[in-house]
Amino acid sequence: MIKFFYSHQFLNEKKDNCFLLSLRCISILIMIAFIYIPLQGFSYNGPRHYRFKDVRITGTVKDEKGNPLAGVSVAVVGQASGVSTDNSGNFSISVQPSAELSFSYVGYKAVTVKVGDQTHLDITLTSEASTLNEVTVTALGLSRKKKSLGYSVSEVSSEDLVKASNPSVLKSLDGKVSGVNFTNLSSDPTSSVMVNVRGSTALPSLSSGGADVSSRSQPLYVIDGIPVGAQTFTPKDGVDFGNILSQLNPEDIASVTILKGGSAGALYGAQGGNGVVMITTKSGRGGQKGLGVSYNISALADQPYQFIEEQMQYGQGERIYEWQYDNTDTWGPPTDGSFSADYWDVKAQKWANGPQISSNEDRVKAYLQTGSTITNSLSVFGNYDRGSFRFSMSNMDNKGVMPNTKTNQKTFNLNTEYKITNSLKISVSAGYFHTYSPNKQNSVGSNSVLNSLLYNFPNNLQPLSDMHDYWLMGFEGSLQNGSIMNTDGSVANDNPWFTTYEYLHRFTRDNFFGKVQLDWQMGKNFSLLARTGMDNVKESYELRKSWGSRSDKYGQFVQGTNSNLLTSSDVILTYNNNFNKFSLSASVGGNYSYTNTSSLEATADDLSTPALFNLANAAPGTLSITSGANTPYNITQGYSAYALATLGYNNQLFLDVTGRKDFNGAYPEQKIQYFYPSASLSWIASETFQLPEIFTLLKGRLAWADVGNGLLKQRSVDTYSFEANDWGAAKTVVLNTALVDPDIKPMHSVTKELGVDAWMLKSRIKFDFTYFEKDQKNQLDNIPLVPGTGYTGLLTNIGDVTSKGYEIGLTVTPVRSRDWNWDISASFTQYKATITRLSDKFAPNGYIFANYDGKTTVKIAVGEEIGNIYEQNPILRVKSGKYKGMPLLDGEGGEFQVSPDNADRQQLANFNPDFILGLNTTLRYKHFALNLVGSLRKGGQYISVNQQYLESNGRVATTFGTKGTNNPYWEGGRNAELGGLPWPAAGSSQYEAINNNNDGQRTDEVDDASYAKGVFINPNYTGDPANAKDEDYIVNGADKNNTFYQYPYNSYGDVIWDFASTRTYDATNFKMKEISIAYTLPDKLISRYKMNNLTLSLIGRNVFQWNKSGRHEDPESAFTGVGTNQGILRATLPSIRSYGIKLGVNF
Amino acid sequence: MKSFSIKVFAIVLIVSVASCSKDALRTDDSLQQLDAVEDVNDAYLLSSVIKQTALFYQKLGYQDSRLPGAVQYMERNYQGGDNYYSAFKQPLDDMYAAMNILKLIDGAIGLTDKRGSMVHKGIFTTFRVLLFSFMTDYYGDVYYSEALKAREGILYPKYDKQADIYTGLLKELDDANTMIANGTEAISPTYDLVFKGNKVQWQKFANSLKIRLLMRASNKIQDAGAQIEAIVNNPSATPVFTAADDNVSISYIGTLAENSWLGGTLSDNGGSEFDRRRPCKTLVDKLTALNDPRLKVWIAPVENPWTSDPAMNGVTVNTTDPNGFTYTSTWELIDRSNPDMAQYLTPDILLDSNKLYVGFVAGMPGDWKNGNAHWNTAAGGAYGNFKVSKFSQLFRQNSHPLLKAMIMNSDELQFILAEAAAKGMITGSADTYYRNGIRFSMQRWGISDADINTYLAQPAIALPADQAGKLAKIADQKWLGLFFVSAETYLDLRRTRLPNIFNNGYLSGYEFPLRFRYPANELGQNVDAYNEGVTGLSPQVDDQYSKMWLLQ
Repeated sequence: MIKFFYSHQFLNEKKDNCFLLSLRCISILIMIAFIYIPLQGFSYNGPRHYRFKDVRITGTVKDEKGNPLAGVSVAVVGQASGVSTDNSGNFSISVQPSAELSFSYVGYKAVTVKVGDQTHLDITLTSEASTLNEVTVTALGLSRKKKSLGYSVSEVSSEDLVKASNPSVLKSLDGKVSGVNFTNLSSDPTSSVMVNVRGSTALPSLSSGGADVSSRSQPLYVIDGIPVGAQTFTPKDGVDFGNILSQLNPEDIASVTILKGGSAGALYGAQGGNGVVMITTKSGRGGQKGLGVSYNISALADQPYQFIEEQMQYGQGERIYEWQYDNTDTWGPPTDGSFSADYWDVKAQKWANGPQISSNEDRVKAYLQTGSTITNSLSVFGNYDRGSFRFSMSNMDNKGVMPNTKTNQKTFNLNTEYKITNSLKISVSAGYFHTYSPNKQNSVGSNSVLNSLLYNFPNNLQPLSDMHDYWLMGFEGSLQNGSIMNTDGSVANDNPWFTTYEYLHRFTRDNFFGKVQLDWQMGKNFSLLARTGMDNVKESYELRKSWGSRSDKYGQFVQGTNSNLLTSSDVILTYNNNFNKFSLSASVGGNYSYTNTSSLEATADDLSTPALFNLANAAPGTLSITSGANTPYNITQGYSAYALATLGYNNQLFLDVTGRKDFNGAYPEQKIQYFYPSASLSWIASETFQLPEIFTLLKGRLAWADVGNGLLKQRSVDTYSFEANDWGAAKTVVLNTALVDPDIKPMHSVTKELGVDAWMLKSRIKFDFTYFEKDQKNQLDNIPLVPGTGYTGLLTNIGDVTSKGYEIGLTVTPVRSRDWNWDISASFTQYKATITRLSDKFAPNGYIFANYDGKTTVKIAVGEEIGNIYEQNPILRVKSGKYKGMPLLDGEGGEFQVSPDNADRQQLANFNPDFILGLNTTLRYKHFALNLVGSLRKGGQYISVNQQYLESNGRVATTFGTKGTNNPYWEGGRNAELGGLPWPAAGSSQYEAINNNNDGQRTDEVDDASYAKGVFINPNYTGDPANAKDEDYIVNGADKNNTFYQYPYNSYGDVIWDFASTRTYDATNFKMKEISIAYTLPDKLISRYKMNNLTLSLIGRNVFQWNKSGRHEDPESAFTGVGTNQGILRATLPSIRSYGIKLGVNF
Repeated sequence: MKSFSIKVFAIVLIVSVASCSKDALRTDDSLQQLDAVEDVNDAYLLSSVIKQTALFYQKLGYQDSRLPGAVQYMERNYQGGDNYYSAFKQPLDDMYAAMNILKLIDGAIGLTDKRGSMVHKGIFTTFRVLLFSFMTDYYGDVYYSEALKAREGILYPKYDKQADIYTGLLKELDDANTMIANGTEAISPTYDLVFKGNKVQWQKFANSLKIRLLMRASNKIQDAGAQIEAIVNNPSATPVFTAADDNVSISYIGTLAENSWLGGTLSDNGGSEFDRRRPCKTLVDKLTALNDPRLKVWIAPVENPWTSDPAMNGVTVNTTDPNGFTYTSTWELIDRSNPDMAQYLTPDILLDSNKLYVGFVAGMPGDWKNGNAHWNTAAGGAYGNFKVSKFSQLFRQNSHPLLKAMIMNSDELQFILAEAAAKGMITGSADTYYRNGIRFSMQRWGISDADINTYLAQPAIALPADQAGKLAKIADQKWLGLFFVSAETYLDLRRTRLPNIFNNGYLSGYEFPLRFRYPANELGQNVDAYNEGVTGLSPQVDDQYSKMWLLQ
């Protein structure tokens, strides 16, 4: 596989830079070296089957001052068996003479000792504060001592990732990291996660419809040192198929490190502007000598909860006295059995007549099922003198909460390491990740089942369980037995089971990951690292729609593939030395990266034969093919050179300087280069001054960086492409145009941060604080142009966005004893991003409104906060006088009018939370451990499209009338009891317009006159409406003869569509993300079976959710479509809680 | 281990040298593709320009009911604002649709220049004039000389005065005629969707279009008549349309919505839009009054016509129209003893009883209760209006030999010449041009010569002696001839105020709009040019009633 990609890649390069090309040559060296490695190095050389007799070891553990330490964990390396010291610091344990014992205690540096022929051990533990030599992985995969870092990084270890058996690594990070906002696309356990590091600083875009969640705001992901790009996910027809991150097996992850600020990520140059998420996978190194096996199984049930309540009293129709069986609105007659009507009996498949009775069924609840997620994971690892390896396999089966949906993931991962000599080490990793969904359902958007069940499924229809026969008898495969039928035999509303079983989205993703790395210690001061890797993702997708749906009588078949190859190679030479009090570490290196993407999709818009899903079955003239929009711009390549140096003084002051120069562009006209510098300073004050003993560590940090964010030079083009369908015998073309500012500059972000780390009380309290500013400069977008220019827009630098905020991490260990241990950690994140500069060309008037989800807009103006959402249709109001501020109704029908003045647009919401508080606590008692993770998102609002449709379709009780809860812009009701008013007699108004309007709607059947609250200009007034005086206005509703009435279906629908403010809600919520109780069996019970660390856990995820608004919607799923428009919530799945068990054991 | 390292480095060296090869297949390949998509041959450009322009005009002519409503070919019986010019109130983006095609044409002209394909350049120039004239005729001052020049740095193109645009367009048409005549390259018969590669036909289009523009501006251009005469009198240098099949229009393919007639089953799946578009009473009455054989080609008989004869109640009549489509009509008695029915049998609602072909009253709000309504709403729903004719099943087809996406037809030129002759602008017989026009139009709709002769022989068809009477009759026939070429009908109606249908039906309270308002984006993104453009109007207000230069 690795060889394959190289042969492939090398064919296609130009000889233009032999120096940088040699990077690739070195990569080949690594590959060849790997082939030449004598593989027997991995095999075991000694007589492992022979077992020595256990010996008993006793001893005492003391601290630096000679005081005995109680509760120190004494463990056999590579096994989980162990004991703790007693109150006098004594211990006793039986082990093999070949074993190593490790002694660890919170706040102290762990010590490992070989037993050999000793029987008594006296151990002294030194507190961590005096060493503080923990290392962490930083940019380019370089390990650095934490204390020398002048910037904030967040690290989550493997243990915390797998406690709750979350199938997605990213989902398990929420609540555990400060400075990062993780937003789930939906409550589905397999859904994608959007990650914003220190706030989204992407400007709302005119060209892509608002502040969408695009890769423009997503961080760079790096797996084992190989950058794999800013991952979003693959959306198809409203279905989220995840990305390569959702494919990773959490059990394979050793740690996730998030480089938040620019200084941390500056070495990633043009890609690091949104932060970097570095994922390190587990290796066999550091474990016990010899072979080990680890096995984990978890089984969880996924259960939906929090269903939106709908009214069960009124059925199909537009008015309370008139039944309309083909209608999906429920403004009609009561469903208490008092009203008989013709209806389609779905179960019996015939027309019937009878009393209309509510099914009293919560449709969404009745439709959804309890899903399940079962994960098996097996790993084999070996650690030897010359090398180590770890091989793992996993299988995850998810049965969705939506019926007939499944996802299967399999992963295979191999990490190996071999020491060719004592100074030369080679590591090779290979991974294969496979995802297959035979069907995943659309859970958002107008064609989803959830959408239909919520808005278009009147309560008088039969229960869903009566609708399972979704084909008309005798017409199986071609004609649908709809939930509502028209009298002409056509379908008025799809049967949900038809959509479930005959409208399928099938998906496969195969991901090949490979990496080879060479580490060479060249003498005392120099070391060389050479590394190359690739990620090759292939996706295939099918949409299968049978004959018979309401909107698509002859079905559809879509087949598409995407392929994405990404390779990256680095060579880094490092020099390390100490000069008296000074230490220096300096590196220079280079990188070559290459990507090749392609996509192809073929659509058969109609099928000739029902349910035969292949392209050849396309009805004549309905087959069309689209290839990737960017063809042939599907290759990118870049060369980079970088250097970094850390200068240390007296182990207390560290200065970091980095610089990277990127050379991008595959074609001559794309070539561009740019330089990205950074500097940071770390000062360990607790080393410089003699601080009170309470301080274990006090460190100050300061960092500045200028990093890139996309670097591609584009040029103006007018290109022609053939239209998918010919005009008879003639092909036709369309012109595609793109105009680029010739003076365009690359986007980059300048970040500054300032922070303090304080460890106190022997590290029982660890506190860190960081203040940051991130200035995303020269953002790129299209300035709209009038078509008279020949172009729709000009791509240019439109402006800057600055995000400011702070993040706090706090870890406290209030209890630490032999049997008890209690840790609490909290992360706090607050940021605010505002637009700080706009190009004059972009907003000549100082501001501009961009379309958001079609029903709302975003304002682009200096000072505007990112996340603000504005009304689409500002209501026209009276500008002055007595009625100032009241809606001005039109003079023909008394309806609300839309103001043409942008200044009237009101802000509705801001989707960003005021702050995010993550809480995480672990309580251990002997062999028990309780772990809780919660997250509170305070503030922010969302706009419920659900509520909009629920109200305009009459589905909720708020639509009954003003005698119930209602919105303030409307007076009236469905009948007199509910607030409806009597209709005035024909011709009772002195104004013709009012008579005309009311006469068209009047009924003698019921008092359902309702009206919009506002004023209108006297119909006899002839002057300029702008000059109308107080006496020219008439208040609607004040005089019943001179009121524009509407019946509720008309006026309420109008109100709810016009006033987005009536469906804007507080997004504040608290979620109990994880609860787990783990019990580890004492090793003495199971060691005879050669097992250790047998742990059984009870797990719950998202078991509880509190929404301040009281609504049964998940504000965090507030996206209109897959991945677009945060803050707009539509027909998403209800919340889902997962609970189950997990069992883990090592051999 | 040293020897191992040496081995490794030896391999590296060899591979390095080998991999520094000059094989750059992939990137070269891509660059070649890139070049290819920035260039495309004349034939593809021709088919694309023709197709896009024809569909643009057909959208204006039928799909957007604004213009067919304003000229009273069609009324809506549901959401009927277009029946009384409502859509003219808003800023309209149609000039942007024209600009999008003009951008394609502009690119095509650039490419033909490079290749020296002058015939194609001439054809593209003719289309360029057509679309720029659409823009100025509908809006007034618009961009012309600075249009399409963003690559040269003009991001905010200024508007030219309409007078200057006209001068430019007429000049461009002269050039187009010359280029087509002098060009030597062949036109692909397959890709010339209109004239199958016959370049003289394209010359005819350029010159006929020039006559159309000259007549449109005849009260502003003093020598318009002389210019028209010069063209007509020199058929070898400036040929014009002379035959019934000299039409710039294309046939539909009818396999997909996008290549089908807009009223057909592919475009309008359930037919609800088709049902909402009803022939206007003005049109039906005119066709009926003149015994016009096009009536049955265009209009379907009413499904449930009113009868005042009790004996006819419930009697079913079957009709087959000239294209073989069949209809069933069942007479319904006007029964004033039925109280439900009686309340609807008011003079407003009960029109055109005892007739099979009935139109929707002009200017009537689109609502079931009005003009010729069915009284039984439960049976009819909001747009099940069974007392008004629909268009014939011809207009429900995806494609049909008689259904064309029309840009300009030969009969229009005959009527222009008839008008010019009647006004004395040119010599020649108004009557001949007039009768040619009628004949060409009827032939276009498949009417037999015998029926045409019968029609022409009617006294009601003959031109009277007085000029006003002549012009009125010519205008009636031109209006019928331009059926569903609504974009041109509207401009003609605006210019001549003939036929005088402005107060028909319920329209007397509504002022006939004179132009389209500029698109809102002009105000947003090109405000200086916009403001300058408004000063060219009289009064200087961007609304639908201000007069542009042509009308001042």
